[in-house]
Amino acid sequence: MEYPSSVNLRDPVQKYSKAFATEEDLAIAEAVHKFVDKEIMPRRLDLDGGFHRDRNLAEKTLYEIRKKLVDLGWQRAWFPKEYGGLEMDSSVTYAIFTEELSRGDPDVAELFGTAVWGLQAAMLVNNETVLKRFAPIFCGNEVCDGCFAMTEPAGGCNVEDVYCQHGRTIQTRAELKGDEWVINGQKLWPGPIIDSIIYSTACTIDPEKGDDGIVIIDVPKDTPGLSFSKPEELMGRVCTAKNGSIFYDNVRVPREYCSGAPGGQGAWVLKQMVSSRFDSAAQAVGPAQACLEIATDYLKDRYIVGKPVRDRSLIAATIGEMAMKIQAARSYYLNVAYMFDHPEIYGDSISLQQVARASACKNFATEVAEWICRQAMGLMGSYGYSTGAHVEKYLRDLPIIRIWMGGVHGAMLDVARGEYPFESW
Amino acid sequence: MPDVKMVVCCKQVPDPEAPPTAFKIDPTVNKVTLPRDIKPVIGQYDEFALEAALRIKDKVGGKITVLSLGNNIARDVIKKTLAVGGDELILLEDESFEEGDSWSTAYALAMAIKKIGEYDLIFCGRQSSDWDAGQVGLGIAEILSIPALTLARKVEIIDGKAKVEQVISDGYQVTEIGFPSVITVTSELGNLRYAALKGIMAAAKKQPVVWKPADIGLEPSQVGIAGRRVKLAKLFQPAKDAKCEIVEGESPAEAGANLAVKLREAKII
Ligand SMILES: Cc1cc2nc3c(=O)[nH]c(=O)nc-3n(C[C@H](O)[C@H](O)[C@H](O)COP(=O)(O)OP(=O)(O)OC[C@H]3O[C@@H](n4cnc5c(N)ncnc54)[C@H](O)[C@@H]3O)c2cc1C
Repeated sequence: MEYPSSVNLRDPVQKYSKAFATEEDLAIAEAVHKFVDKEIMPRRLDLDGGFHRDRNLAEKTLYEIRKKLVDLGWQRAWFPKEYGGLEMDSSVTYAIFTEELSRGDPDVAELFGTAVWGLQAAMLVNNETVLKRFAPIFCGNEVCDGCFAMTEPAGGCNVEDVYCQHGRTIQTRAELKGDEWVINGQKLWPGPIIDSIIYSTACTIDPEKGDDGIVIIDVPKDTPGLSFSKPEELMGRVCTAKNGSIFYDNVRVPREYCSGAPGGQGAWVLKQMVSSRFDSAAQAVGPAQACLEIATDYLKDRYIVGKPVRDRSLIAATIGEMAMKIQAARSYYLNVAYMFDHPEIYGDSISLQQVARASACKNFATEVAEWICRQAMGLMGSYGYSTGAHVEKYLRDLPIIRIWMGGVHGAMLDVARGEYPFESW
Repeated sequence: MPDVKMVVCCKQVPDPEAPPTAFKIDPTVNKVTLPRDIKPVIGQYDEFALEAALRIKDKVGGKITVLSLGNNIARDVIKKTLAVGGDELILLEDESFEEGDSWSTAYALAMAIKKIGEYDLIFCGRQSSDWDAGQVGLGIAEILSIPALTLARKVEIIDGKAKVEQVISDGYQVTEIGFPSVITVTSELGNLRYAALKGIMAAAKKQPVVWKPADIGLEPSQVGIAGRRVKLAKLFQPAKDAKCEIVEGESPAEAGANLAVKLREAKII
């Protein structure tokens, strides 16, 4: 048998199982793949400000890439049609889009996710007041940011651990005074701060009430009493991620800006958690795939003692193991996303089983992705460690995916909860 | 002049960006053999032709019918023409179309265009990205007895005519051409746009129309290998011979002098 000269599994049409992906999904994968190759790959170091760490260059590059994606319809994709959106609703589609875009840069993909997050609560309960004002902006032709603010200085994992904590640890308080909600408190780590036009904020009216106390209130950027810290300095996504503190000092918004009355919001936060966890898996697989490709190509032309390095069996076996883990992680999240979209077969999307599945695939994918990037770096020697080889940026951009959405351990406990009743930690 | 009726001919070719070593020639049968893993793509120049048509549609409105001839045409590849904004896709797809030449291809495409019936402009790439013959566009014009312009880098519709900037060796010339006519397009026109999400969603719902040779009135003797007018005598990879000789000397000046002597001996200077 003759060896194929181009590797098939890089082809987006071959990558994704047709058991889950539709023809449309594959066309989307192909389109985003090509966009990444032409528009992001040649500029991805500039997303870190280039060799001079120039923030202006990074902002300009990020804006230009996002603007092109906005023009192609990717920002409006997940918003309702009546506001100019395309009303895409398949989690499989979203996850595939995320993997392909993350292959270029995970934070570019993340920003499309957070934009949807900013209005997700309003969409879920069809809060027309909020949607009429903000959805058309996201469906317009300009790059636009949204933010979902959950994590607090006193802890992220516990706020996100809806099963055990039931919102009792949320410290951001909301009080209904007349026709207005008054919010006081602080969030830490959500993003993008400063740029987002809406901050969908998880508050409590009374921590004692647990789930029934949780309210999600949408706070517009220009509301008096709302202010921000400077973005925190981070290990990765150095210039693109703007995550920091949001301060709420007697912030007043109209009563209608609460997306859903108190009660039932705990379930909503949980639903967010489930879908964001398998999306996180997709966001981790993209960089892993990129690192696999970079290392495999580099080692084709790197000769040591008369032979390309990748033609040594030890190296080939490592490349094989990297590919194996990618395929497993990809199949895993596709499977979970599909199950999430079919609650009629696999149970309510916030059932213990769904939370367990989504958490398992997030932890698995993020762990193997980091492993794969480290392997790529090891295989490439110092060249892999250098900025120009790209692997180091992926390696810095990855670990936060493992941490966010409830932390590594919290997610693992959720996996255990799918097996037996486990209440505390 | 609103609603220009356009036909764009797009050929599926093996990805020209695949490594050259992947393309092998079997001289005993005069054929190129390709590993199956080389992904087909739409010919680059045909993509420029499609972009020319899309720009006209953007500006003055119109309908774009994409026409592709071949065998085993990959749907996920060719449907991209719908995702970027083509309205209709017709495939002339049959085993018998294999191994045709420029004439049999042009003839089949012309017959299909006749069957389409209404057309103002037919766009082709300046040449295909595999055989680079550059004859099909002009062949279609000849068979349909309509005028043609080649090497367009810009096409605009003004007062029911096409105003075309044609690339020439030292610049470009502006020519006008009436309807119906054929225009072949070159790379200076610009890349085919990316498919927008809305287009991808719409394309996924459309299916191409497939016409067999008999559907467009072709006799078996006019199709593919039977319809060839050019006989391929010999297909081979030219052997390139390169020799390298290092001219030495005690000092750079001496090495230079030695080099000059060698070049003189070889009658190069
Ligand atoms: C770039 C970036 C983007 C982010 N984006 C957002 C955003 O958009 N919105 C938002 O609200 N937040 C966001 N975050 C915050 C992120 O989700 C939290 O930081 C994360 O959930 C962890 O919370 P923590 O940092 O407070 O850790 P802690 O809660 O202090 O956890 C510390 C340790 O304890 C473990 N732990 C905690 N609770 C449990 C438990 N119940 N069971 C077992 N182990 C536990 C954790 O695994 C961890 O090891 C972002 C953070 C960054 C850096």
